[in-house]
Amino acid sequence: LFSIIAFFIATALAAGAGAQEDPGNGSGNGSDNDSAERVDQSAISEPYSGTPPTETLRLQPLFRSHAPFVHVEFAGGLFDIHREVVSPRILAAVAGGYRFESFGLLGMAEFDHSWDFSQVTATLSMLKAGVGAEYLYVLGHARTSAIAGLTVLVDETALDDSGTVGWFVDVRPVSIRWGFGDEATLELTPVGLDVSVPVTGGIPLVLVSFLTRIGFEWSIQ
Amino acid sequence: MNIRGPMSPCRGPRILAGLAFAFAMVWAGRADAFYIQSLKTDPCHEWMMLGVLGEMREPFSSPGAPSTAELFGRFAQRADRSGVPEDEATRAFIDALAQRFDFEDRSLAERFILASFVAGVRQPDTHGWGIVKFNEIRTVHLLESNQRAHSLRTSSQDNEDGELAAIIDARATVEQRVESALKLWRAPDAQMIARWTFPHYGESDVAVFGPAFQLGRAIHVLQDAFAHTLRDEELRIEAVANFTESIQQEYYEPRDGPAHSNRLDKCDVYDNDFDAMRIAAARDAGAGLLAVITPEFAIEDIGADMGAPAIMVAGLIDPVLDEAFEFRSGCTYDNDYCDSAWTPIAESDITQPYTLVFCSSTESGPTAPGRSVPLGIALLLVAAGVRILRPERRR
Repeated sequence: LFSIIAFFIATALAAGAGAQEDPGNGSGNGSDNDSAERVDQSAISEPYSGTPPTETLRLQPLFRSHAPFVHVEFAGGLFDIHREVVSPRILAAVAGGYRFESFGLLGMAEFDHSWDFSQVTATLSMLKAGVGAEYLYVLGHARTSAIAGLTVLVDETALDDSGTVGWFVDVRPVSIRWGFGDEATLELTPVGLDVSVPVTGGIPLVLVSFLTRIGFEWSIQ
Repeated sequence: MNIRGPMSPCRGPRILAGLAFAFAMVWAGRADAFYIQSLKTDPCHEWMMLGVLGEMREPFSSPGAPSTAELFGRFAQRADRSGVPEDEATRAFIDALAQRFDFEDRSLAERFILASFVAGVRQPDTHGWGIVKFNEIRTVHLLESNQRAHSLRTSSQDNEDGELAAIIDARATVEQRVESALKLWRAPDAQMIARWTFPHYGESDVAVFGPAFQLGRAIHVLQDAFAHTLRDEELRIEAVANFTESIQQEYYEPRDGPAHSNRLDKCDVYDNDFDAMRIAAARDAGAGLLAVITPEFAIEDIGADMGAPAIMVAGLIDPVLDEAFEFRSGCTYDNDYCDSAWTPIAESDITQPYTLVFCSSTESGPTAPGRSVPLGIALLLVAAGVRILRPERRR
């Protein structure tokens, strides 16, 4: 897990370093063929009518600060690390919040459905609502966030009734973001950790999974 | 007949390690006995156990089978008298099994007894773990000391002498478990703690009615004697199956006996006369066992000293075991186990090694199951990493 996270951090930082070395004025550093090619192209005397190459080939800031945003995402996981069993899990969430400079606050509502094959196929559904915070870096192309809140059992289980309320924590060490236009963002979280405890008393119900998430964000400018 | 030598050749197309891994993850849910209930298999053991207790329709139950009603009644009376534990896990365990096997209309004490029998007959296959606890289940199934609980050979029980040793071990296991049941019956508290897995929650300790649980475990051995043997028309044992070696590719049939068969684990009683016959034999053996020991479970014996329980138990149940484990010597691989009619049926679905490798085996030596999986995953990750890290060519 840490290797994967480290890999993505390194990738994101490398991309960010490249952007900082050439902050978008089109001059390039001339140290590689690609940059040289761009310098040549921007140096032609005719007015350039298309999109400036720096806008397509360099990281553009993706903070979309001082604006509210809404977010829709889907997540999945295969293994419960608490019970150490294969236990597929799918989640769908909507979130909304406000982003300041590189820091934002958000709220999230999520539907969480999981399967268990311990004896026969058994399913479990939960509804979650929580609040959290985010921090964006690498020009807004990387995001770290955490959300905590309440989770409610939708289904009755062998031990507990539906409606039982517990808690959850959702930590996403690194999410990678790609911008589309001025408002849309695609976000991939390779590995996040979700700890859901919908039943805290008696025999607790604890689900702990590494989840992969993909989401779409709209910034309301 | 195919010779399944020590190293069967690699056959079939290469399968990607990831696909093999996913396949094996699902396939591993199969138990190495008459099936227990899982997402893929029928609850054969559980149905036969409930049939012995008269809780199932024919052929799992039979009016002609030895009656177990008296023993069941005594157990329920005892549980009612001493009280069914009220803890959350035990009550949920009872309710879950009552709902699943449709005995919710019985009294609480009766449900407790039935649930304890069902948990006991499942126990040798799972030890209370969920069937997707792959490491634990694999250990349970491959331990040499556990083979006797399934009427199977151990890896050292070779040739016909090994078969006889396996039969003696299986008989002794039944005797030990009946003895445990009697000891628990005479103890002040007839209850014991067993591990049980609740979906999504994981393992938990539950209270079971000890005599019923132990008798369920004993009956499991008897039931498996009709899934892990080849028999003749008179139901005499002609060969005892081998699981541990056949599943680990260290298997040589002339020495190790017939491989474990998935086909014989089935209880397809409604469509198949062969299975109906085997189920009836297994059911009658279990019912016979409970019938002969019923007099020993008298209310007035509670708290009494058992004396020499092992000798007493052996004397009681020997006729039942003699019938279930009757052995016909001289049936070997060379004579196709005396041309047993069970052989081609068993061979129609031999249990294959649970390999997670690109090829099922090698010609040169044993293949450690699953040793290529880490390699395969590592190669995939390296390939993905190389692709990602490779400098991008821009035009």
